[in-house]
Amino acid sequence: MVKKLLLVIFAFFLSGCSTLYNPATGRNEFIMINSQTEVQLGRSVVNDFIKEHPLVRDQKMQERALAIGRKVAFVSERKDIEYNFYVIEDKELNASTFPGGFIFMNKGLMDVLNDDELAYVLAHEVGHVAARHIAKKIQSNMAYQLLLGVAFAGTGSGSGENAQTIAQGVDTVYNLISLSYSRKDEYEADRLGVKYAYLAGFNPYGAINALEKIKQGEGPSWKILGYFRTHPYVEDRQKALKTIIPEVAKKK
Amino acid sequence: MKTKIIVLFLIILNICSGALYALEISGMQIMIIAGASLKKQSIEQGSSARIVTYEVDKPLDEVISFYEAFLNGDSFSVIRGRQNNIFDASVKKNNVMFSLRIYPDVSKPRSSDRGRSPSGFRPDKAKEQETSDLGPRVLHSNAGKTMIQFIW
Ligand SMILES: [Zn+2]
Repeated sequence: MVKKLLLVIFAFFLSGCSTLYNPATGRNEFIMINSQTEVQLGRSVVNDFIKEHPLVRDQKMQERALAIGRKVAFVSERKDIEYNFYVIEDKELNASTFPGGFIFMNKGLMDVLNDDELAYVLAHEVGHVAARHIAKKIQSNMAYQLLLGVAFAGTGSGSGENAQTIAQGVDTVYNLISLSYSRKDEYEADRLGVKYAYLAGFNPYGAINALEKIKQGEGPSWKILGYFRTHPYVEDRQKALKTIIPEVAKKK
Repeated sequence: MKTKIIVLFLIILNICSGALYALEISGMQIMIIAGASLKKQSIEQGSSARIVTYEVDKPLDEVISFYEAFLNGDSFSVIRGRQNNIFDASVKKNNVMFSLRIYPDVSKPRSSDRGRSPSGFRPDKAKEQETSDLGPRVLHSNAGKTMIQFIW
């Protein structure tokens, strides 16, 4: 009953709103921030992030992430932003994705994954961006004024004033980014990730190997550390991937 | 100087052509184009964002031009703006920030839209607009009706 009532309220709420057709998810969605605002929000947070997380100096490694990342992003449905891929000095097997398509791979992950596996991990992150999982997570959990404040700080027009508020906003975005994605979001990012990797010319079965390698590499506490803390439900996803991959490969 | 004159002209025109009223956002008065009526007000859970939507029986382009002149003339900082025949911007002046969206009303499909989905949107056509926020809304508008949405 409560669920039904909530659905009615939700439908009523949507009726007066501008909705966005999201070709990645195939749904009409209500997204409060436009893409450029999402990019500025991301830029603001990334400027802070790279102060604490230096980029790897190995140019070849950066180029490898960029080249594979660009290939999988090129076939994604969301083309209104420019995707950026970087590698940071961190041995943990993890990846971080910020609003607006800023994707950071840890060196640890780059070291253990081959190109097909890396293509899946990057494409999964691109999937979260294309499906606007991050934008939705932020708009549903962050005070809108704070969100706009951080976004305008990214353009430079917010800097200097309310520095403390902006720092608080950046922290809020960090916290939201480090929250686990929902099961539904993970399945969706996997489906998109496998599709993008395959369309970009990589072996889609790299997805299964990548998850297994990350599990092995993390050791006994793999569920609560690193990659699977933000991208959980791994056993269910591994099962689902065995169905998704042949479906995706058949569609081409 | 030129834009200030245009804004002044638009304000005078707005006053002459109907009741002028404004929406107060964080203490700032934002002009509502003459003839607009309040369609919906709501608060988004979690972000506490207030969403206020007006409807006006004026062409989309006229409404967009009105608000572009208003924002430019009043020196607002704007992220994005007009794109693919809609207007979608985050705006800021001093400590006042909000989002403004102007888009065609598609709540009731036109008679020529019969056979399409109730929302008047066709996924096949929407795909052509895939780089556009609010993409499908642009494709099948109710003739003349324009929506103005403020989020803050
Ligand atoms: Zn994920």
